[in-house]
Amino acid sequence: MQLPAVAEQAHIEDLRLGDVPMQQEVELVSIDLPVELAEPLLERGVLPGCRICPVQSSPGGDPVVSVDGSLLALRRETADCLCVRLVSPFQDVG
Amino acid sequence: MDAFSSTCESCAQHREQSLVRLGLSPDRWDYLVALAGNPNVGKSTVFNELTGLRQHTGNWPGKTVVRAEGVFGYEGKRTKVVDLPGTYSLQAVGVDEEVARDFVLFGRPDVTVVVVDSTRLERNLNLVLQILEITDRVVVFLNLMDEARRNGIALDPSRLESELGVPVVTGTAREGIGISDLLEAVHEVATGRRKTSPYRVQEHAPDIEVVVSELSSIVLAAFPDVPNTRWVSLRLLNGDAAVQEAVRSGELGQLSRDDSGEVIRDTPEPERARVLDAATRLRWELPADFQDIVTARAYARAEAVASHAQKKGLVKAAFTFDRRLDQLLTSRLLGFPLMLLILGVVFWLTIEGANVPSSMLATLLVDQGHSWLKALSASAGLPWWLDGFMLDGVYLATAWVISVMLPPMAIFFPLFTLLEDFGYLPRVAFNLDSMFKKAGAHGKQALTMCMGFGCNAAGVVSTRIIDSPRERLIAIITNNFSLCNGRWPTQILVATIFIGALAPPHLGGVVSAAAVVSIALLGVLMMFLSSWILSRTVLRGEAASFSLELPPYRPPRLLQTLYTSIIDRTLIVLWRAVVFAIPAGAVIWLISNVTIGGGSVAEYSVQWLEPLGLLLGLNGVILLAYVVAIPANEIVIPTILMMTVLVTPELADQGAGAGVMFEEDSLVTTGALLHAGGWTLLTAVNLMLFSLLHNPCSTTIYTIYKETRSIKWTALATTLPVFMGVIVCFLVAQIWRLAAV
Repeated sequence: MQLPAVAEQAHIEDLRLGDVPMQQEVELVSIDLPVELAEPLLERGVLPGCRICPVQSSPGGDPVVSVDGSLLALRRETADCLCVRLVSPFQDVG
Repeated sequence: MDAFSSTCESCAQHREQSLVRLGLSPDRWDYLVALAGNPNVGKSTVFNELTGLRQHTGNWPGKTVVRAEGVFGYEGKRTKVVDLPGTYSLQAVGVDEEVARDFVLFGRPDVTVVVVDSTRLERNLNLVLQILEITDRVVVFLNLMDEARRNGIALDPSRLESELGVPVVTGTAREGIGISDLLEAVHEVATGRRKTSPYRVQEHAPDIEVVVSELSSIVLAAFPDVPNTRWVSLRLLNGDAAVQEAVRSGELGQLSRDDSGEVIRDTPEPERARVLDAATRLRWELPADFQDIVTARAYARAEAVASHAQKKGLVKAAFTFDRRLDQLLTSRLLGFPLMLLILGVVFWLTIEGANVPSSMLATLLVDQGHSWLKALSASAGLPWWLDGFMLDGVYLATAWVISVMLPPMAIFFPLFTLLEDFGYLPRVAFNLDSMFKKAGAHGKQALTMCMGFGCNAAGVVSTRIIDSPRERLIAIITNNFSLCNGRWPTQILVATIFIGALAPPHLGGVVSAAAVVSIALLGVLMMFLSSWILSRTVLRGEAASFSLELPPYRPPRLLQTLYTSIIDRTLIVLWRAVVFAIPAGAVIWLISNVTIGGGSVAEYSVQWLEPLGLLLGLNGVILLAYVVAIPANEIVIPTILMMTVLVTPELADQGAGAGVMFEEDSLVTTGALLHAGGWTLLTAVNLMLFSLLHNPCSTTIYTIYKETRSIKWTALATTLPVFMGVIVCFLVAQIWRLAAV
């Protein structure tokens, strides 16, 4: 689902969550999935504008991300559909 | 009877009917309270705090096999609480969402309590706002306030209360804090002493707003008493089948009735049709991405409300213990070995721990109980056929099922629930997801598969946690490849007598255990194989995106787990098995005792099945046992023993009589009996294979039908494993015989 307010930026910043290294916090720009697949993510707090950070990966190489104070396991394919942008690593401290 | 009172009566009666349809027993209560909330917010704890042990479980969707309901009294009023399944939203995509939504809408609870995780307010408010769209009788309970404090989150409940327009109560249910305030708030809303003015969406995006208001006025014209016409309109525009049906049947108008006896006009059919037509017509005027826009707005609103009522980041959030444990339990190197170890210990405890109580129960029910009842019936002078049918058939089959099934289940299900409570099971699903992904299945199928090792019927019900229909069907159809508790005894017995005996005595136990474990692993392999085949043939489709919350590890609550898992899982599964075992016992006795021209029906059937049995490396007795023992796998071995005695002339003086199941007195005599019946190593190996790969028991078949509501998928789930079993057994038999020549 391309959320309207931020859809254009997604084309410029084509960084996907799947490419983000561990422990690097990023901001979610948009979710490049049809609404019925995006809905479960939204319900779990993966909302455009939120801070999201990959924290570990499964034995099969799928990521676990920390979002909104909880841990969420994703598939690599899903992570590749989340358009993100880098934020300054010190921005959220304190 | 005047019009006034008949309307009132039909109104009360109507509500009762819809509650019965929703699975609620129509007993007496003053107020009905529904408990809603996201998963992992401590909803069950709130439920237990409210009801204590005055709760019972019904057979209806929920977190586990069943839905829980309970009763409490407050200021002299009896209040019934229904624990709804934990859901993130009420947009009916999964079974649980549908169940929760239907209950809030059609069950018309007097109060809906929404339990909210204070540490994740935004996300939880999404559900709260959805519920407020449907009903105005809501109380919000901000649970886990202690965790919020620890995580540096400060909340302003009175601000939240004024934003939401309904009472907001804070607390920590685990420690009983806030429960009395919650009771008070529920009571005030239920009695109507406290009026609420719920937060509702006033204005959609302009092009959507035009359509919604137009439809809303048409709905209002047709159903003048419906308070939430805007929500109804939006659902109709979304093509929500349940709401469409409520309009079509006129039930929507009934929903606004209260018990005041007010006369409400029934909406005539043409007006109802006009609403539906208008919805269909107006849908075309909406922008193509209108669902996206509505959803995005809804989340933005939840975020806005949350941001007004909380302050985050007071203390640096610390999840270090969880992180460290996760790094261990889901690590590349140790994730799998630790998982196998933990699950292995659970199975080992189940098998080892069940031995003693199982044999005690068998002694009590089968040996002593049966002979005591026989003596009783002899002294009462019952005719032989009645005595045989009731005691040797029905009673013995039931006694067998209980003594074989109850102990392992009473160990397995609580252990499994403890792992679930602790938070480990989501990690198992996460570890295994990459393998399930390759098979085109869902990661949570790992959990339903594990559940199936306890009982396939319970495993099938547990597939409700999978929200995508295609993957859920795959999980249902392949659940039978998990070797269930009912089949372990067959495996262990046959492996001990025939395979363990090949090894030197001191290694016998290890070898037979290894044989049984290989069969279970073969089952897992077949599960992956058939999932893969299904997802490339009849259940083709895109792998749904998989996202799974890994909840924080929480110390499991031992006593409560023991109580609920025994009630929720063990007793219900056992009850179903007993219900199905009773007719099986009757049939087994009948076919052994009804004779036609000198031979019993069983003997004829065995002779008739013998050629097919031999072709598969089995024999006629085994096949017949699997036909008559379809209700419960537990009675396969006693049935085989009994019928082997029946059809083997040199054994005629053994056993307890025709159609009487008996306990294998010792491994030696059982082994001798089976050898005399013509059993070879091939028979044993193929019996183990066939016990893994054959149709599910009738309890499971019935459960599959109830869950899928489809004869087609039930038939596939029933025939697929037996088809595989026949092929595998046939191939093994042919290769074996070729190799032996």
